[in-house]
This record gives sequence, structure tokens and C-alpha cells, in this order.
Amino acid sequence: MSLGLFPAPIASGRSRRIYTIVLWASLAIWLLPLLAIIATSLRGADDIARGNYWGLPTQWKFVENYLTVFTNTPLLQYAFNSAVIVVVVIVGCLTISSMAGFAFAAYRFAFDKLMFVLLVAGNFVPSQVLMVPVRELMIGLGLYDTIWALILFHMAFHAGFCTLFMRNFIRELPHELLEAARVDGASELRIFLTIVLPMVRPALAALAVLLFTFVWNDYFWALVLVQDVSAQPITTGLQAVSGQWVTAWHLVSAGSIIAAVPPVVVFFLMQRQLVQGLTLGAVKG
Amino acid sequence: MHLKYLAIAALCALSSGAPAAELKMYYYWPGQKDVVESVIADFEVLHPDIDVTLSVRDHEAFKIALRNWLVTNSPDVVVWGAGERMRTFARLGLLADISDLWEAEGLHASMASTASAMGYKGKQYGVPIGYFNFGLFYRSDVMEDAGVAVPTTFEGLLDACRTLRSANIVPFTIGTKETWTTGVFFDYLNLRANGLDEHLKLLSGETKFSEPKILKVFDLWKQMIDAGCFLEDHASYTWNDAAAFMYKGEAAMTLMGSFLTQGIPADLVDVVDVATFPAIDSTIPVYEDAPIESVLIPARASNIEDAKKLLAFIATPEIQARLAGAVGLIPTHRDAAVKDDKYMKAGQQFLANAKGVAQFFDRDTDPDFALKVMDQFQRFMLNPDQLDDIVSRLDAAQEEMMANTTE
Amino acid sequence: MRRNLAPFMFLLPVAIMFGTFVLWPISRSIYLSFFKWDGLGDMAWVGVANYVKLFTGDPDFWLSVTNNVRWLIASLLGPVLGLLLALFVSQPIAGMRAARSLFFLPFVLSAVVIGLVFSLVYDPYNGVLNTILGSVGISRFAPLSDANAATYAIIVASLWPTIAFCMVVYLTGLTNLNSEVIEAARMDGAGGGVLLTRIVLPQLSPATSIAFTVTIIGALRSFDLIAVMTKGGPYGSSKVLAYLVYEETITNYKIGYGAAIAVVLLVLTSAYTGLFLARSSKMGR
Repeated sequence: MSLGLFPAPIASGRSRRIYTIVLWASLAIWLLPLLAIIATSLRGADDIARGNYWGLPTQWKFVENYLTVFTNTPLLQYAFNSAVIVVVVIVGCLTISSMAGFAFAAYRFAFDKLMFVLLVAGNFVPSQVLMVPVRELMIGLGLYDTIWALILFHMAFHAGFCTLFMRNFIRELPHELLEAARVDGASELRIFLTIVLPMVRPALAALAVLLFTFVWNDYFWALVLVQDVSAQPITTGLQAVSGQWVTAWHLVSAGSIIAAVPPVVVFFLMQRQLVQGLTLGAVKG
Repeated sequence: MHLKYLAIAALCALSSGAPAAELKMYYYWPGQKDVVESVIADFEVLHPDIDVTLSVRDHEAFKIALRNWLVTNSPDVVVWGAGERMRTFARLGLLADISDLWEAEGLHASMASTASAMGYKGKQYGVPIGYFNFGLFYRSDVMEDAGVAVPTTFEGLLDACRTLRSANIVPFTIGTKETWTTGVFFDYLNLRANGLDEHLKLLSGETKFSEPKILKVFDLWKQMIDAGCFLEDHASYTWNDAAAFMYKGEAAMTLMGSFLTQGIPADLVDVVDVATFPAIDSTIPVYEDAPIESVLIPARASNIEDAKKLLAFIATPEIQARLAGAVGLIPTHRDAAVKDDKYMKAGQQFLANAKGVAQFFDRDTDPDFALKVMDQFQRFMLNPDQLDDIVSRLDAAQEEMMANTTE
Repeated sequence: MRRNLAPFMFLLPVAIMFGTFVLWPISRSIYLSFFKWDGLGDMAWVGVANYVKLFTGDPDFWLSVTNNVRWLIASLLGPVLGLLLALFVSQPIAGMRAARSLFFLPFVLSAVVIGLVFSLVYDPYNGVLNTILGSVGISRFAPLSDANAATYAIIVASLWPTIAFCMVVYLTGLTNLNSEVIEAARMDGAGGGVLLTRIVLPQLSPATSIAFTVTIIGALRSFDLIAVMTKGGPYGSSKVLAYLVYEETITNYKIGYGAAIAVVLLVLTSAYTGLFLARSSKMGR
């Protein structure tokens, strides 16, 4: 993916060096807020109390701070909740979306255009318009204040985007394969499971990364659907815990880093798939 | 041999006894988990057939979830505020009437001052635990260094602010990111300048904000702002963040509730004292803000009978003293001992000297109205010159509140 | 599985989930907007009274709309800066892959983390901003306390992940460029500016379309950062429509009124979504 376009590929050694320096310097500035948080999470309470945020820390409290966060707050529980929610949503959503994507891609049927448009449009709906009724539903189902409320909602909501993505991807598959299988007498289900699914693995991977990011970082629905400590994910959990610490910026920072690490790790492990996901599915309209 | 087994089996059957009744109690003092659990443990010793499960969460989350709990799977006992807070739910029939408990335990005598705060239309709901009191907390060492005495009059207050400022100390630290802290100042300025009756009339909509009496309160407030009394950029801070300035010695005073005392660093307890807010009009008696925390029984609770037993237990002097002491409250039972702590003793003195108490702004009135009003208070503190528009917004909010109140 | 039934079977799970948790709630919210209800007592039919009150008697509503417009306009910087960033990181030097990933990092952070990070940046006494301003002699400035600055301060925080996202969209677009055309133009002596505007940008229009759409819809829906950083303050000056819905519904218990605001928000986003869908289907696949 290297282009070297504008104004022109930088050829000369000296320009290259200057460019490299500028690049990494601007990266440092770009990430400055994050670096600031990491730096703050290393300090001791004394430094914070005395306002020593940017000088050399007088005490290195890296291990203590993170340990305090884990032992004095339910942050570990929150992280665990987020993890469960994310994993179940990914499995569930990808399953039903690949099925639905297959339906749209491989068949013509009544109202297929209308249904598809509804799915796509539903993506763009602001969450607030769903807020009260979804809460009513969850209360009615007895799932309010449990992780299942979040699991079911995210599975349903993201199914729109995921179906769109899978449909586009499956459409690009060679349909002769499907036809050949049908001629051989395979059932539709068989075709889906043995031919289509293996070929859409890259799409599934891309969606899995996207879903991880969106669901792990969701704040609004966690706020609306869950209050109990045993069910709160890490986003609202971190917010609640931060509110209880008296200017303990070192602990707040440590907590933020803990909340930020999983999506970052997933991202770095699966960057290629994520980038494909963001652009492929969307570009294809 | 097999007789032994029979005997053991019989013993097991005997000891398991009748199935335990269950009680669910929800509360919002995460910091006081240990005390609440020990109180419940003692209750369970007295009532071995009752099994209590506790659930705690922070205040904000609790406030939001409570509304749902009361209508769906209700706990048996909830901690909640008295006064208007309680009445919001009593009005809708969501609370259990426990007037019989009040009679049986003689609470009308031992908790006389709270009967009206716990009552609605002649019936009693819930049992109070204690009062939060509010006071002017100050750093005696910082004040001394600056040569400033604790103000007892309004003029004295303004002078103190000016002197402290010239010594580069912030007179009053305050964090208005959560706007309720502005309500504390308004309450006290109004209570000292106009008295409790006027204050309640304003909250119920009988008096408008644009009336001269209330405009006077804003004028007093403006005098404080002009004297540099308040921390700059207070809208960036929560009350906790703001309190830190006092602990660092950069600010001298703060007007805050007794729950502040739980966060005072141990090495500063000797130099942080509390006084009551200065008098403004010597003809007006002293009133205090003293919101009451209480335990209530939802109407849809599954085990109201046993819940009443738990409430009766909480209404006893010893338990009142324990719970109240832990949370930082002054127990409502007149025979309960106040925690031996200088702040609690001082708070008790303030309340004893007060002619009457208010429940604190956002507990005394409709929440929507309170929020809009406190937003405007914050706006006033940041832009006192916008008073005219602020007052018209306040009047409008008040009208809306009255239009919405069904009775 | 029979051929005719197959599509419906595959579609069923998504149809049920999406219908229950997305489509039904939309219609329910519209329904609720015609009532006055506090969530606990009786529902009272008020017809269009909520809407009338909203448009004629609620200064908060117009303030929120104004803020949404500010968000909209300011967020247009996202694609622009994203494009510049994408061009900047398009040189084929060693470590560029890592650099790109790091520039993308803010996108995978949750709003809670970004909100906490920027709250620290903006802190009046110890924040990065004031430390820098202080070192060049400018007096302390607390953006989150200032009614005129708060919204912009939050928008800056939101641009951080937005620019990262647009950068990736453009990077993918840049890889799909027709390099022959570019080489030809360059050999004809076309300079950087001409190259960019005449040749490259037109080829990037699908990417541009995505970048702008996602950014604009995101601006209309913004909630998380406002909830985390200012709760709409100081005194409501940073509220936006999405936050207003939340506040009126959850904090003020005015379900019907909140629903009305949500419907207005829905109409606004649908208008834009409709435009985008129409345009993209015209542009072909």
C-alpha cells in the first residue's frame, strides 16, 4: 500500500530523513493525549496531590496503581462483562447475518429490496429513538439490568450493517459453484454451510473486529439498559468508578488504559481485516 | 449402626427448620457496605428465619434504576430520601403504607420531627435513618494565617472573601459540574434572608423568582461573586475535585453537606472545622438544610411483613446510631447517640439550634424543575449580568412545573 | 430445505431480531411522542402538543439544534484533515505500516476513554492545554467551564477518532487509484496541486462520500462524549439533540416529550441518510 504520490515520491536521502523525523514527531503530538494518560497512570498519589503531572514522577507506581484499580474497584468484573457480551454478540450476530446476507445475495424473493433497504436504513437510526421502547422490551422480557439485554440488543442492531456487508461479499462469490452443488442435489442449507461459509471467512474476520470495537466501546446502551454492578460493562463501569475517586487522576488514568487495551490489542492483531472491513463493505454501497 | 444414621438424619431435618423467608434490600452507600452488612447480620441473628440479600450501587445509577424496580421486580426494602423524593412514589401508590408500624413502635414520639417528611396524606411511609446536615467547612489554619475569623454576618463574609483573596487564597471552593452544589448556596442565602416559609413557597410555585424578596437573594449572591468569593472555573469541577483545593490549602472554605467529612484526609481532620452559615437578617430565625435519608417499603414488594420487621429494627436507637454514624448522618431517633466525632456533634448542635429544616433544593421539589433551576443558578454564578434572562427562565420553569403538578 | 422457502428461513433470525429491537421501537417511539407520560403513571394523549412545545416554547431545543449545526460544520474538518493525513502517510518508508496503525489508534478508543483523556487535557490547573498555554504566557483557560467554548472543546475531542477514521478511508481509496493516469499527468508536468485536484480527488469520490456521510451522521448522533465530558453543561450550553432526548426521558421522566425530540432527530438523520442512499445507488456499484 505504498504510494509515494504527493508532491512526488520522496527520493533523496536527506529529504527522507527529514520526512521520517517529521512523521514520528507528528505521531507523538497526535498521540499526546494518550501518552499523557499513560504517564499519569504511572504516578503516585503524592505527585497528583501536589500537582506534579508533567515532571518526572517522584514515585513510580505503575504496578501499584493498576493493582489498586483491580482490587479496589469492580473494574475486573466490568471487563469480564464486556468480554462476555462482545464474544456472544460476535458469534450470534455473525451467524444470523451471514444467513441473512446469503438470503439476499443468492435469492430473489418478494419484498427483498424493501427489506434490504429497511436493514440498511436502520443502521443510521439514532439510538435515542430506540431508547425507551427497547428498555420497555427488556423490562418486559425480564432482561433489564442483565448482560443479556445488551447482548440481544447489539446482536439485533448490528445485524443490519453485518447483513449488508455479508450480502455484498457473498454476491462477489462465483455462483456457478452454488449452481453446480444444486445440480448435484445438495440442499440449500448444505450449500450455505459447506460452500459459502468457508469462502466468506475474510468477511467474517473483518466484521468480528468491527463488532469488537463497536460493542466493547458502547456507552449509551450500557447507560440505558444496565445499572447493576454484576452486569455493567467496562464503559459505564469506568465512568461510575471515576466519579467516586477524589481527583485520583492516577487511578482514573490507569482504569482508562485498562479499558482501552482490549480493542487496541484486537486492532493490532487484525489490522488488515479491520481496514478491509471499514472500507470494503461501505464502498460497495 | 443404622440408628446413628437415623439420628444424624433426624438432626439435619430438625436444624434445617422451616424454609427461610427472604428479604431484598437495595441501597446506595457503596462506601458503607461493611456497616450495612453488619447491621443486617445482627438482624438475621434476631430473626433466624429471615434471609436478607443486599445490593448496593452508586447514587446516580440507583436513582435511575429505582423507578424501574418499583414497578417490576421490586426489592423489599429500599434506601431513599424523604420529603418530595418519597412523595413522588407515594403519590403513584408505589410505596407501602406503614402507619401501623409507626404506631406500634411509638415513632411519632421518638421521631416526631420527621413525621411530616415521611408522611403523605395522613399516612406514614418508611422509617427515617438520619439527617445530613450542611455547614460551612473551613481550614482553621489557612484562615488563621490570613488573619480571617469565621464569618458570622454577611458583611463579615464579604470581608473575609476580600481578605483571603488578597492573600491569594480562594475563599470558597465549589464544584458546579454537578449543578446541585449551587443549590446549597441558594438555599442558605434564601433561608437566611427570607426564612423557611418563603423558601417553601418559592419551591411550590407560590412565590415567583422575579419577586423582590428573591431578587434580593440574587443580589446578595452577586455581592459574593463580586467579592471574589468563589473558585474560578468551578464548572469544570465536581464537588470532590473542588474539595481537593481546600485539602491542598489553596482554598479556605466550602459550603457542603456532612458527607464531605468522609473524604477529609486523616492528617487534616484537626484543622478542618465546621460552622453554620452566617446570619444575613437578624430578624429571621436560623433554618438549616437537613435532607433525611430513610428506608422505604415498595408497595409491590413480595415480603412486606418481614420488611416491616427490618424497618422496626432500623428504627431502634442503637441501630440508628450505627447506620447514621457510618453514613455521616445525625440519627433521627431522639434517643440515638450521635457518633462521637466533632463534625457530627457540631451538626447536631446546628440542628438543635434551628427553628426548622428544609430538605435541600432538589429533594424538596419536582426533579425536572430542580434541574432547570440549578442550571440557571450555575449560569448566574458564571454570568451574573444575565440576571434578567435567568429570572425569566426561572419563572417559566416554575410555571411549567405548576402546570404539570396534578395535585 | 426447499428452494422457495430457503431465503425466508435464512432471513428469519435477522428479521425477528431487527424487527423486534429496531423497527418496532421506532414506531413505538413515534406513538409515544403523542402522549404525556412519566413512565409510571397513566399515559395521557396530547396530540401534537409535545411538538408544538418543542418548537415554540423550549429554548433548550433550539440551543441543541444550534449545537448540532456546529457539530455538523466543524466535523467537516474530519474528512479534510483525514485526507491530508492519508497523503502525509503515503510515503513508502520503513515503519510506515506501524505509523499508520498508530495514527489510527484513536478510533478504537471508547468515548469514555477519549472523554477522560481530554478532560485531563483541558484541566484548568494541570492539563496539557493550560501547561502549554502557560509556558507561552497565555492565561489559564478552562474550555469545559466556558459556555461559549464547551461545545467546541468537545468537538475537538471527537475529531480525534474521526480524522483517524477518514484517514483510513482515504488510504484505501488511494490504493485503488489508477496509477497510469497519475504517472501520465506527472510526466506532462502537472504539479502537486493540479495533480491533487484534477486527477486524484475525482477518483477518490467514493471514499469522500463515505467519509463525509459517516462523519455527518456521526455529528448528528453525537451523545457519548457530551455525556462523559460535560453532561450538557455548563448550564446546558453543550447539549445536543441526542443528549436532550436522554435528559428529558431518563432524568426528567418526560417520556412523551423525549420521544418527540427523538422523532425530530430521526427525521433529520433520515433526510441525510435518504440523500446518501439515493446518491450511492445512482453512483452504481
